Amino acid sequence: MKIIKGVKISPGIAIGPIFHFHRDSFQISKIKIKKHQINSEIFRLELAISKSIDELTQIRELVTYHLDNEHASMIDAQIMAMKDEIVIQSVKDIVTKELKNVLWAYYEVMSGFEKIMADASSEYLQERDVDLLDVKKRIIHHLSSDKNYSAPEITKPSIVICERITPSDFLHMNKKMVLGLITKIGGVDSHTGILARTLKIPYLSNIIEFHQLIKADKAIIDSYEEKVVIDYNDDEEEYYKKSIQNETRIQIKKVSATKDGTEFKIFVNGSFLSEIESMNLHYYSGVGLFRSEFLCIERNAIPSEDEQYRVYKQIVEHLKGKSVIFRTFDFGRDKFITMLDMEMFHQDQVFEEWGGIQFCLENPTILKNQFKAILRANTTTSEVKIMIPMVSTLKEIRDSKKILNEAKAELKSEKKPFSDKINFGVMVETKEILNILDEIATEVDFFSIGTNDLALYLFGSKRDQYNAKNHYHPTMYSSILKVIEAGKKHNLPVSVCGEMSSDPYALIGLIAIGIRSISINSGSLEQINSIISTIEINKVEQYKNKILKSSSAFENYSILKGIYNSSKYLF
Amino acid sequence: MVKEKVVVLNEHGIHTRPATAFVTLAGQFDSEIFITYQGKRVNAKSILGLLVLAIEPGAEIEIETDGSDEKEALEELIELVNNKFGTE
Repeated sequence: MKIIKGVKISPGIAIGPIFHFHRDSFQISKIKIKKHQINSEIFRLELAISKSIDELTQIRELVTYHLDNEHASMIDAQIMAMKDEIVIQSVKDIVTKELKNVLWAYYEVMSGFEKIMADASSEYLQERDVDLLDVKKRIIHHLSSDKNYSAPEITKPSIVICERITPSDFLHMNKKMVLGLITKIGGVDSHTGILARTLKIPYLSNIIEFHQLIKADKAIIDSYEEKVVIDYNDDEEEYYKKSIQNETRIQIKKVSATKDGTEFKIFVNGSFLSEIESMNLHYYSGVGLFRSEFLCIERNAIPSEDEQYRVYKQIVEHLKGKSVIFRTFDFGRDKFITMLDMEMFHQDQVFEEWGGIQFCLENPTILKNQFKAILRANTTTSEVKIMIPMVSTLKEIRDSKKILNEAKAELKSEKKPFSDKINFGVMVETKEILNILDEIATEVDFFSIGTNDLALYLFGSKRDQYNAKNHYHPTMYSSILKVIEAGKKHNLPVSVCGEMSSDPYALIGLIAIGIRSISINSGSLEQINSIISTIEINKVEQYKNKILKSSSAFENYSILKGIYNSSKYLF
Repeated sequence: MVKEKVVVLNEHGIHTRPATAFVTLAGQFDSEIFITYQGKRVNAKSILGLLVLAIEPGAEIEIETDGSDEKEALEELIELVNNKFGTE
């Protein structure tokens, strides 16, 4: 047995074969270009930047959902570095004036910045050096290859070792296959570290004897003891296997009611098949929101009906009878894909207008194919629901349902089996829909409140400057109350998805005004469970009017924080 | 062109997050915006330019704005620095 010391980043014990992860490196050759090539070289840079930003936007989404906005802002810094005026201008200058190839020019410019930053002494300067490295690698990748910048496929559950790892590489790995993580360089506060803790993957870093690890084919990570064990025998392996068993005994309980016994449903949000498959769905009532557009973002294309069907079917099978809500493609705003018309990217305002269901209604074939795939995944034993995003008019609902009926008719004539008993709901996330709740109630089967976008609509702030305090705003609560009341009147289920329901203080406010069903991000489960299981509805409901009538988000924040803190002792 | 000196108050100087906040705000103005620190002057709409300055806590920087909305820009950027970039 050989022991290699490291630093604990994420707790846990893992045993398994070693997977050595390293990125392909591309040759950076300096090539003289001809004058007529200048424009195409610059176009290649723009394309590489655009692809890279798309990827980071997707990663940002993941970080926001797994972690929070604060961490997502680190991705913003990367995106900003990609768009950096000085960098782009310097690269263009080298290309146009010195007639050098864009790959070399970009590498030179970024390496220059890296060097200056590496020379700086203070700690935070060295920390951000990692961010820049990812920016450079990603752009270089897209300048050199047509493939997506994604992590290699790990085919069996392994302990992943690498010199260093960017959060994006880590996010792209199939988490089911990552038993543990060991890196030569990495910090406790790094994003990868935070993600590993969220995903409960043991992680050890700062390994001085890293070269020893590369030679090993299997390893044990014991991050409680801050060590990696290699060259171990069967007895030693047995000892650690027992430790893992002991560890997994301490588990989260499934919570389905508040302390006083009021039924409370917790659903989970998901964006990827692998993510859903890696979740223990025992803790949830089902999937409350599946963000189907990530299928397109992953592929950089809209998947065919069959491709979609396979994914949806696997999700439905994994759920074993629990319900799943598939939200139809929600493009626009911060989510867009390169295969859509490039011209669109440069006109931000266009995005605002054709996001959500509007985009799909303008491209009815895309919507119809998606409906067909969802309908086919629905069987008599499953509970599949369809939800359309960003609805603001009754017509959009009727038009969508018309396309849904066309999809059913086509499936019938194509003799493809499906179950046409399917619930059809809307995401409540625009200002307009709040005024037509009664009218649309007869057209739909459920309401799901998307708090992220609703806050944007109500307060008009841009997504990037999205302020979590909006969650506490009395207008948020009075708007949500409208939906709750409409739901009661028309006997429709109302649920809240979006970050508001994962925020402990905001959640208490939601419960106070009558929410009994939420859909959260899996990382928040533990905290949410502890709130739900300790909360007493009648005590919290006393604050309903106070929350609705408060004068500001800040005042509500204080009220809700107060309830939260006192409840820890009282309930 | 208008300019004003301001002291960076936040604990860690202008690192990634404050720089992101600064560049985001700077990007909303039409004016050209520069920061001068220790004799180096950079385009403040560039995050890398800003980070390269390695502005330390307590440092005095000069913000310079030049263009149609220079007054507003200067005012809001100074306020951002005084508010510790909204990060603390």
